[in-house]
Amino acid sequence: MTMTNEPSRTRILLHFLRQGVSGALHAAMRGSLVVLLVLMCIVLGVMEPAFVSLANAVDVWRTASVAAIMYVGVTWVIASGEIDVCFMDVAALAGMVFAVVANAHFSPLFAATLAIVVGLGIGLCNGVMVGLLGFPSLIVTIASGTFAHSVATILGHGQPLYLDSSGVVGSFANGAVAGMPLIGIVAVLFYALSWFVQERLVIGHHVYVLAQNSMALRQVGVRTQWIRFGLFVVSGVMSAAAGVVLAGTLNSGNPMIGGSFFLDGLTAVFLGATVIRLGQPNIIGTGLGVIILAVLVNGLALVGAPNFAREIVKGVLLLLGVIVAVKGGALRWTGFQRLRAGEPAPAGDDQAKLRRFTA
Amino acid sequence: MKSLSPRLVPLTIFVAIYAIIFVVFASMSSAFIRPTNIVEILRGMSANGIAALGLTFVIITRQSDMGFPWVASLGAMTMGHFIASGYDVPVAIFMGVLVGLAWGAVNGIAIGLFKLPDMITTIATGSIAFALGYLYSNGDSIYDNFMTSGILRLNDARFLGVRLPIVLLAAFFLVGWFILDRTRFGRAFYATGENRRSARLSGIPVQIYVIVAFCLCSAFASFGAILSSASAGMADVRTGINFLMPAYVSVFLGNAMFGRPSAGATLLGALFTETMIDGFTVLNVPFYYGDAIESVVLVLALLSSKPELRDAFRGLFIPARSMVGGGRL
Repeated sequence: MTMTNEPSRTRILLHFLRQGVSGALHAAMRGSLVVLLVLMCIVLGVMEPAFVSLANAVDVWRTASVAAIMYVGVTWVIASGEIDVCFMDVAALAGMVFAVVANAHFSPLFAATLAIVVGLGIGLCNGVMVGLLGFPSLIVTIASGTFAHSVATILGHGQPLYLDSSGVVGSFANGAVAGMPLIGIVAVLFYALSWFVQERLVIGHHVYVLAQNSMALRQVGVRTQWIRFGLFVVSGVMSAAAGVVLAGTLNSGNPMIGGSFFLDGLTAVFLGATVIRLGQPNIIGTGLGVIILAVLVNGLALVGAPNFAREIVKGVLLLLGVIVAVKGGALRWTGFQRLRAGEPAPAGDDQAKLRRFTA
Repeated sequence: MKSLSPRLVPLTIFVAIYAIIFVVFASMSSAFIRPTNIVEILRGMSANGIAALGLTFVIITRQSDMGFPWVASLGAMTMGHFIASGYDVPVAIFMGVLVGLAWGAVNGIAIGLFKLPDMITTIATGSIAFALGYLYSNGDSIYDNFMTSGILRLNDARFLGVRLPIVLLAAFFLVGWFILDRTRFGRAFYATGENRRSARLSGIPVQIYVIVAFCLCSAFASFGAILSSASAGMADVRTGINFLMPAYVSVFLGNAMFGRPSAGATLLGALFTETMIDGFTVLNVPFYYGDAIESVVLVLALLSSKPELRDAFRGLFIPARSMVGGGRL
């Protein structure tokens, strides 16, 4: 390995070539999800005419909304360089708490509040462990997710719990305004608000700086540990809220819902990281990812594809999303400055960047 | 007291906790301390323990693998498919492990060579593996030929009077310990995890070690799933699903006890985990209670491995000293 102060000419040329490729990739990627979505709709519509009906569109919208609310917190947690693998189990637990309390003849509103407080509690635990004490988020959320899943199962003795009456929450989850699902409208408004927080408020920008260089953020006086703490709390609360709505939609609490939402959530987030901000999970991207997955699941079910085919497609989409997000983003991050400074190919730096995901 | 290694504190704590758990279970059920049950703990430990040993390699290189439980399911289904198709037992086992190995190689190349983020990549590839497991039988359990082919002997046979799974467990950990602690090849895993750049500059092909670690993780998990298929008498698409939590608890309990992940640490962690799982089974507690307890233990293990928190605790026993390799893993 050469250790010259000046980069060789071939290296500079190679670098510009890579920049050019990544620029083209970036431009192509910006619109790719929308193109993918349109293509999927056309193909599915041709294969199964029932797919393009208004009723089906509303159905997809309703399904997507619950998932979309669940993934808001996860998007930001991953954008900040941490990971959350407990969101779906928190949702399952919240649904079960809601079902148990509502069935015990408390008001549904009280039951929903209690369920969200439980989600808040788990979010607080994660926040303290990861944000304040600095433990790796993967292990912490594996532990809290397993705990939530276990408690949810205990509450239902291993079975789903059917709601006697879901009351206000049920009418909110299943209600419609002028033919549009109420929960769908709420989800869209909430995404608009989240987009504002992410793009127009300082705190939103801090989330992305946290992933790039948390040390620099700390040195300009931002208390990074509290941002991490807050993100996990938000994730816990949003997952729990989605879990309650889901229980209202299904008219039951189910401790086993975790499995499908887990893969879907990560796929939506990483597909979303290929648009708007390449390589960075973001709200609009996650929204698009959720819609794509909802269309995919709905369409493949209508076409009659087996369940495992759907899982394979999801896994491949997740892998593609990760490859594009990381490679597209990474190519842009390995800046020209580093080459000029005469450093060798930054293997160590790549590792540091990857470590964001691990520890 | 000053001559005591700082590692002894967490180790003592966990031995004490283990003793308490053991006594509590023993006092609640006399069946727990029967020799047959002690053998049952060790036999039940074999599948989870071997999977955890594979994960240890990945954790040592400071990566993580979330997909091995799913890959293990695919490995067990592959083995079941070959048994059902009338192949010999060794061939079937070899094919099952080979599938795991191949999947691990894909993970390793994607992560080590192409620098993809480990967790998400393994989740993606793992979920594909899990879905592929459905292809053999459309999701049904496979038990054709299981009784006649001799695959059950993997669980029932005895070697010098000891059940074969226990012998295999001991062999895996002995070899794992020897490789990790007594060979240059094994030390290189630690070097790769500790400081990748200096490891590379010392002439260690770090990418190869990452790939090997992921290969071992998936292959060992597949073998573990094959062992539990042999004990269940059928291959199921969900065979390996339950490996995730025990494996992570074993590795991180061991890490908390010894200050760094190693084969011996994982073995003790696995013993701890399996004793709890078995104890709850003996007491007829539904399996889903076990997960809650395990996750609490995992959090306690994490907390006890945190130097700042340990310092506060250790002040009661021994003057504080920094822990070897017990940093932010």
